[in-house]
Amino acid sequence: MTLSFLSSRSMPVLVLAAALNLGALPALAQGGLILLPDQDGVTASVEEGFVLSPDRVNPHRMAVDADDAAPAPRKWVSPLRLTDLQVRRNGAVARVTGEREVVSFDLYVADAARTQRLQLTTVSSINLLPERSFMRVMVNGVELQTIQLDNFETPGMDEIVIPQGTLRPGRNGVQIEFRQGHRIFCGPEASFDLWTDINLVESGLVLDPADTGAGADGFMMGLAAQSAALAPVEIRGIDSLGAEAETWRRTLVRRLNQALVGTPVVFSFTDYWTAAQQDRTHARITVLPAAQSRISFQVGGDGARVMLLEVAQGTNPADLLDQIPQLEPQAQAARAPLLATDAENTFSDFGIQTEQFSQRYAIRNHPFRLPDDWLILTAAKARIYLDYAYATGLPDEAMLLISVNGQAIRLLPLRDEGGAPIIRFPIDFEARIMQPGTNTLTFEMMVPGDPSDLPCPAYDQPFLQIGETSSLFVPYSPPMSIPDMDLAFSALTPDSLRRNEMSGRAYSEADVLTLAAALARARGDIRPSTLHLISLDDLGAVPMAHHRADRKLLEDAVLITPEYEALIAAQQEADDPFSARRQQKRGLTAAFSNIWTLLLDRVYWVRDRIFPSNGDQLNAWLAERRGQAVLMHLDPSRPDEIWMLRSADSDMTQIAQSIAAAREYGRGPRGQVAILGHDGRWDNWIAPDRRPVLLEDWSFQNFRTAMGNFVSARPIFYTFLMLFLALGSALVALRLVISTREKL
Amino acid sequence: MNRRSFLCSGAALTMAGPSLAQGLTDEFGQIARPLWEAWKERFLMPDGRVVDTLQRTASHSEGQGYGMVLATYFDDAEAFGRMYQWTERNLAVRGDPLLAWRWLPDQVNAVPDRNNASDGDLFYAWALVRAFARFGDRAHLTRAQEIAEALAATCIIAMPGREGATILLPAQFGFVHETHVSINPSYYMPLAMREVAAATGVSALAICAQQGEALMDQLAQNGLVPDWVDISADGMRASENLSANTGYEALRVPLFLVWSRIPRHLAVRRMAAVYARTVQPGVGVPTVLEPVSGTVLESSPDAGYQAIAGLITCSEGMTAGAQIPPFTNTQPYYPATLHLFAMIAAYETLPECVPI
Repeated sequence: MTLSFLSSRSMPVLVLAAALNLGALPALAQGGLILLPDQDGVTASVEEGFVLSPDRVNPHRMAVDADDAAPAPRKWVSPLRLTDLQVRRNGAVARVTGEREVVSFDLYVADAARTQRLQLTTVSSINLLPERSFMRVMVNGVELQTIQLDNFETPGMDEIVIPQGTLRPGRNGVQIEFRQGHRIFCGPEASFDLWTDINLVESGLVLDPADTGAGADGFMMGLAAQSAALAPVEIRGIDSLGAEAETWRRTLVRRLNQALVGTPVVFSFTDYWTAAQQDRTHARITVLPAAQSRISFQVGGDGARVMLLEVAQGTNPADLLDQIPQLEPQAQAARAPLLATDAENTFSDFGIQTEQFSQRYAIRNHPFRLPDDWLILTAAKARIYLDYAYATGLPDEAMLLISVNGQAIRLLPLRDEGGAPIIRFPIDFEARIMQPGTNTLTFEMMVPGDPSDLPCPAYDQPFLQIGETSSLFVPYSPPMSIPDMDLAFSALTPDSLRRNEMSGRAYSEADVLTLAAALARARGDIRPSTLHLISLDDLGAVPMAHHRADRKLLEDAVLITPEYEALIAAQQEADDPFSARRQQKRGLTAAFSNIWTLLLDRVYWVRDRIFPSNGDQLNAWLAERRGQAVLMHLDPSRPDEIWMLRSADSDMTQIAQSIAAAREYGRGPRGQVAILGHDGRWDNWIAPDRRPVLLEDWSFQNFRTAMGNFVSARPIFYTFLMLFLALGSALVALRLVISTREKL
Repeated sequence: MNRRSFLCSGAALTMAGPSLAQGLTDEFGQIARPLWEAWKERFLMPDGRVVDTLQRTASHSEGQGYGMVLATYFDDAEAFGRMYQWTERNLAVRGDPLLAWRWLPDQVNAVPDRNNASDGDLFYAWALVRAFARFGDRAHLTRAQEIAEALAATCIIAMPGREGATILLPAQFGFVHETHVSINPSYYMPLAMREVAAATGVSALAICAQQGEALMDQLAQNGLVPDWVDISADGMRASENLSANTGYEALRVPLFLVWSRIPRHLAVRRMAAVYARTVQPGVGVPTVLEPVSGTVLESSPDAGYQAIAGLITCSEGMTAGAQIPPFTNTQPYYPATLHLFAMIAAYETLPECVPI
């Protein structure tokens, strides 16, 4: 036994300890309990026979025994990114409705050589007849495969092998044509029962996680995956940039949203020290202060694709981000095409390509833009010269409805002259339907079933074709403007959002970020505008000028849900079972009362036309509306500011989506008050007393049109004004005649 | 806090010492508070017991010490107090101030083995020292002093074959053999040993820490530092009877060295080289390696081990930022705790190693 290395200090103690150990032996035998010796003065000693617990020296640290662990599926899906905001979407699920719809997606690929499987997860309505329902998949214009739509009760997965060379690194275009035939019926109504839900998170390229690549393409792939489930993308450490943080925050949100088409990408701003999210993180952006600016792509500790921005003080964000071609803004970031006034604009000028309709019901919205200082309030006509053709033998009720800004301008029956192209068919409509800023031209086609109670016959030829050579003539307008929130709404950017202390309760940080994402795809830097986010408590802060919007009605508009309203109505009916009988008994009294009410309504109507600033019109409008959010733009002296009130139980993602869609496809908030309904549509109130402003000097050229606009803005007022002037003149003339006679 | 000023302050910190570090950890404690809350939610019982689910839901002096150190970093006096009370009630059952190493639930005798664990005692004392500095209760310092003195008296012994040098025994009993002494290098936490020594005046701990660093440097000459080492008069070698691999024990060695502001230590660089070679996205992090060849024998998907790998790789300046994943409490107690340690170490000592 060698104990020479033990210090001399411990030697006497060792002897003592050895003796104590001997003494302790009987105790050790008692149930394995290790009884400690008297420890006074005890230091390290040789404890031969002392048995250490295996746990003591080799603790169990592996969560799952390696031998027992089944190999985890190494599967990652680079999802399809839906590019069309008009397709109805609920979270990660998009619903394609109708007999024939072509839906476009973006698909990001890092290493095209390694990825060969495209997975599509769908579930369809039971109304679909499988033999006549399929999806045709095209990648980068190459048709790959046609898959029958037969997943009815539960989502099913279909897989397509992509031939080598079809995909390219970076952004790829995927188009899926959905053809859906009804089992029983045929016609526009039946087409609404035909739908297929596609799960966007579980549809895309199937990859091994190791093959996702760490470059810019891998990052874009991760970004698309992260946003597929509408999960926020984390931007980490931006506050470390101090005073420059705001500039970077703004630029990153805008640039990344512009680089991706489709649903706005929501961002969250975090510190470096974070807790993991419930779902796997696919991508994030991390900002590091550095001596030299650099951009690189890495893989984070959690496997997320990370765009790492090392930022030196004073760096212009664009200088760094411009180095990455993948971050170039996509076409969707541009504003709707601007039309020339006093000229014919062909449909192709504003992005409408020749389109064929092969379904029983179809609706297409085409946004276009008029100059911000264009204004027609008169009865001046605009004209569409429509080049179109439709099939022969369509049912009598087949029709094409053409609308501008939701207002029908012409219903074209699709019968008789079918089979031949119709060139330059003139459709006149009142130009005042169009507004400065964004407008929407809508084609809605309906072809009834023949018969409607049997499945549609197989018919692959299009019913209707609208040519891109068609044109729209927009009449001349002198530069004028009129108070309207559309211009301010178009100019909103993420920087436009304002919260105050009171609204902090109604809008969380995440809500603001979600809204910021929706506004990131700028409609152009027209002029700075502001969106004030207000709470119900803060309604008094909204400048209303001469409008007298009732606070209670405004509250009701966002607080009363359709469900609650239906409940109240049902309750009232139940509470008063004799109301019907009482009404019957009212008889003559009721008739007089109705006549009186009718007369009063007429009087009020005239009064409102002469004195349109009366606030009752707004309140009457508000009383009948309910929605998720209200936008207000009531004070004409603050043309660049909008105030937003939201419903307490509203989903900010849906509001943001509606805002993004309105900015892309038009049909958004206009006028002075706009309510976003529970169906996602905007309902607008336009003040009747809006006064146009001429933005140039009066001249012979502009006099007629400008004066026409002024008069058309308040026709009754000017009629009465002219009447009074005429009366006044007549009285003066009469007085003159009388006085002249007196002299004679 | 502005990151640039943070970087500058980080540089100044190395010179200014721990007083400034206090300010930084205050800030970290606030920023990362949700992480601590998540840790507590999963591993801390209402009565103050820290549970190691993989170890038969037992509690150890090490876990109590770790938890209490974390509580001081996150300025959580309440949680600290709970853990302290539980530890005193259940593990301070020896005849000396040290703690029994393990408490087993659902047993008539919850502490059948009253041997201590020197790393548990060390972290417990360190937590008390830090608690005194933070919460101001002198009783904590008094208790730390008792433990430090007892630890020095029972577990710091002369190093075989090297005159004047000392080593830290893993426990009072069981590691001193006829021919050699077995030690666990990961029980050395130089920062803790120095801070406890400075606060209690038990200089043997600081001296042992310094000599421990030299010892680990010597061990790293031939490869990675193993879990257990036998030291005899003839020299040192990987343990014959205990784990000779670089496993779950030894992966704390580079972490504690970096935390102790010695990122250029050979043991750290050795491990950094192995991590740089073996860690891949989507694949588990090596947790058991053959020390000489660096062959991976076992790996784990737990984020805490990835955090250590990210920190160690970054300490070598191989990457901008560190591949430290976000904290999750869905991992077991041990990697979760080391995860927070790695984050604290990065924040305190390597400002450039923020998680990317």
